[in-house]
Amino acid sequence: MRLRLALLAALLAAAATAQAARAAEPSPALNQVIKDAQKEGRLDLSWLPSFFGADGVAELVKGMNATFGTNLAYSFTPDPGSVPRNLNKILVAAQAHQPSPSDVFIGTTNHVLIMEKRQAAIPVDWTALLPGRITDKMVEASNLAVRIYTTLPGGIIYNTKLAPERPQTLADLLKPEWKGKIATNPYAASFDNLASDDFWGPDKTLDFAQKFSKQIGGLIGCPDVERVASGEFIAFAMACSGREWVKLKREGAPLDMAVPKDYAAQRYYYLMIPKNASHPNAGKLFVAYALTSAGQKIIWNHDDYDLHTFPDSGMAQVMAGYEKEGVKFKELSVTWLEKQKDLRTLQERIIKILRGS
Amino acid sequence: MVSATESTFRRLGGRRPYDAWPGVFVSIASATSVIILALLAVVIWLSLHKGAVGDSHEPFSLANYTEVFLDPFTYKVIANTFGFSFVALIVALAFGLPIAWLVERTDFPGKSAIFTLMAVGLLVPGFAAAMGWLFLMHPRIGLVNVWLMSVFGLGAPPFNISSIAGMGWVQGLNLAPLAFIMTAAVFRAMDPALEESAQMSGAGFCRTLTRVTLPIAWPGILAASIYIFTLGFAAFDVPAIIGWGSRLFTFATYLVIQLSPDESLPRYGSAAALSTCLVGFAGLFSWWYGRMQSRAHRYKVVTGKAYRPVLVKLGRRGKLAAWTLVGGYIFVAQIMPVLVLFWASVLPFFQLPSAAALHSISLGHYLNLQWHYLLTGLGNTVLLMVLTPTFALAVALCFSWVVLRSRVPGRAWFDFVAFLPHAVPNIVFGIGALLLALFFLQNFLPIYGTIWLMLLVFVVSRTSYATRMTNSGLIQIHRELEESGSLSGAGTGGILRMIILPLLRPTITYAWLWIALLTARELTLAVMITTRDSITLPVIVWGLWLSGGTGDAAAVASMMLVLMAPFVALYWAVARKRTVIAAP
Repeated sequence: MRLRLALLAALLAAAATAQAARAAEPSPALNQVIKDAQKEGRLDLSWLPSFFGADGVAELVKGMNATFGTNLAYSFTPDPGSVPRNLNKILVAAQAHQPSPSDVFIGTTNHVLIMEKRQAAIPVDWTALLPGRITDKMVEASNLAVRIYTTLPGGIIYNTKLAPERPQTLADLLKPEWKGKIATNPYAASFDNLASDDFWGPDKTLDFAQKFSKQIGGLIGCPDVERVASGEFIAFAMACSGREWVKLKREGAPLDMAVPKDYAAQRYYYLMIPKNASHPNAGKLFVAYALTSAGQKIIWNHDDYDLHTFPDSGMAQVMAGYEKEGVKFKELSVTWLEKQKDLRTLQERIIKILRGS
Repeated sequence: MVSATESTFRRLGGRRPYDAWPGVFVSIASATSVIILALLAVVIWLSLHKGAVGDSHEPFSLANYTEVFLDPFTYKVIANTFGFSFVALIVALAFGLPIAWLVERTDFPGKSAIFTLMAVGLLVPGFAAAMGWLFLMHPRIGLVNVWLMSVFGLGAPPFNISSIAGMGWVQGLNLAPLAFIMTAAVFRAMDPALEESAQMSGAGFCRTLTRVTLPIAWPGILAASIYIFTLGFAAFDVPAIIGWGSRLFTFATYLVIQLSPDESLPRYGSAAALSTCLVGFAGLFSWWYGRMQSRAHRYKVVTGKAYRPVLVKLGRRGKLAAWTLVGGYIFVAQIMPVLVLFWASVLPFFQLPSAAALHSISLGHYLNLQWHYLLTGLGNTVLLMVLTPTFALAVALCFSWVVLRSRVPGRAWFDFVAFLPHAVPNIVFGIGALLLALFFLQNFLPIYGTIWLMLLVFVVSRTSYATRMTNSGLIQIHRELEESGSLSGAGTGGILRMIILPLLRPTITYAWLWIALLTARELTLAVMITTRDSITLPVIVWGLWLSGGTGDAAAVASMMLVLMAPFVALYWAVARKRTVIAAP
């Protein structure tokens, strides 16, 4: 009996090892990309330094080279400004038949749609690169874009020492005790999605924006939540990505974020390969590595984001925490956005309301 | 047409060899004008184009203009900007002008130190000063307000930095070194004989100052005023931190919202349409400046007759008052922001001084600096700091010579064109440069993606400032000196080398340093055209700050100060040795 059990255990262990070996073995598609990337020899990346940070990018490239056996040289140019300006540079370079400033583009749903509409990205069979890891659900816009991490836009970041209470809903911010002490961003980020019929609809959102505008003390950029920590404002709403405050909290800042029960959304950042990328295969390899377990861990360690659908995801735990509070997240994907109408026009109206004109 | 000097020379039987210099000057000024006009043409093209940049199928229309100018908010923004720029100008002149006079026209001691401090102050990023003032004078959390309210039992905060006047105050303090440097050269070149004559005629100190000194320095003061006033339109960091924080928009912060929507492509068209109104204002200022220049002979104070700068002796009280002014300015405008910068760089997140804050001090931001990027950025910044002022001043000298010394038809237009880059916000100018480089220059001059494109655009954009400086310097040099040189057989090159350049040396010294410092802190243009090979330090600082890393940004900015301050000090030490600046 013991011998049989030992034999069974040995067989199971051998099967598991073989499966692990198969899993570690690159897929044929990935093998081809590795070969082509190696021929390209380098990788040029440029985006906002808030994505992974320069050291995060360095770690990702180092991990990529180690995992796939490549020795690609790389450069990372932090491009301050905004994602749209970064995107615009890629589009203008493509129109002038010049190489893209970056071999990989990072952006959110709206930016993916712009790239798709302008045929500025190349389709990639992403699922074939990491079968089982990259699933069909992660790939959008006809294989142009693949999800890299999940964000929680629309949250209320508040100073835990100065705020009168932990806000539960956006409507809580209309109470008199918050008046003049709240900041919002100058771009009316998240208000566009709030105005969708899947959430509040245009009328309720515009009405809220009017009332909210009277409560606002000022405008600050999305990552500038340090000004909430310092007490200049006691809250910032609505957050653009929902994790901007975590690093500061770790360092002792009195910050927390509440996901309003009347607007809980999950959104994604995507990676794409511009059609005028100088090193498209190196770009694909970078994306593939960023989606491995090790790549996701690097991104989590640097940015406090990862893709919540992966089994070892940190974001999944974060979302589960909010869900315990009774929050129900709605997914805002590229497909969802394609079905929406006039959100940009509404957003422009809301920008005017919030700026006080 | 033959000049009086030329006819005298011919009468004396002189035969002049072929002089190529005038042709070179006109060619350089013309080529630069073509680049400036091409960049402006791109801006106008953008303003008539509704779609995204490069969408050639979009029809031309005035839609951007109607959108911008039918929006009442635009006028509110323009009114805010005028108010902000006006306050900034007054504050900058209130400090810069007397300090320049003290340093150049009196026996005030410690001049090299003052020059160094004024110049180094320019390297302090505006966001540090804005944050410092916010935490001092914010109506709710400002230390001074809180203290005054608790001590005197006030019901409302006595100061409000979150206002147009408050923003203007902070910006004015930041721009005072510009007023200082632009007017110091003028005071340096002044012949004190006129002041002495006034005093001999019984005029007191104040009367001499208002009736003689200031009118003589008027071209330099006016040039500085126009320049500082228009800088208010482009100023971004102070209005972004203080203004946005209280929903007060100025031209630059409004433009950024137009240009950088969160989700859609930048609206360069409406931003360009907005910029055209700036070109209009610039045209107006340029016309005014041109009128003043047409009466330039009134301000010619450097002549061939007994030019001898003599310093005014300050008494004990005078020195005390001077020290109060200079010390007060240096403390509030230079030391305080630097302290805020260092304070921010050692904290994990920005907080007011407290026991908890002191407990959290660390060198983490410095230890985590990405030295590879910093060194690349530093190398590029230093290269641009050296080359930009050198080329910009060479080009400016050509412009000034064409405008003030030649008889080229339509020469007044050259001056108008030279001022235009200052009128167009750098961010729009930057997209113009990007498009020009990508779609046009790349075919025969492939400099896109290199540091040379940045150099070209920096030189062109600094032409307006450089020409203001060389114009006001050249205005003060009487033609009789050049005529003497000419009579002695010198060509234009000889006159330039032996007469003009030595006399312009103070002006060129100040202008060179100022342009170098402006280049060191130039951001908006750099951001538009930066690439892997051309990244600069301000782009790195800005990128870190925008990403929410105030501490990281402050650490890099602090390193930038530490690295560059010795060079600025060395520069002034050399300048003093060569008696370019007044001896103490």
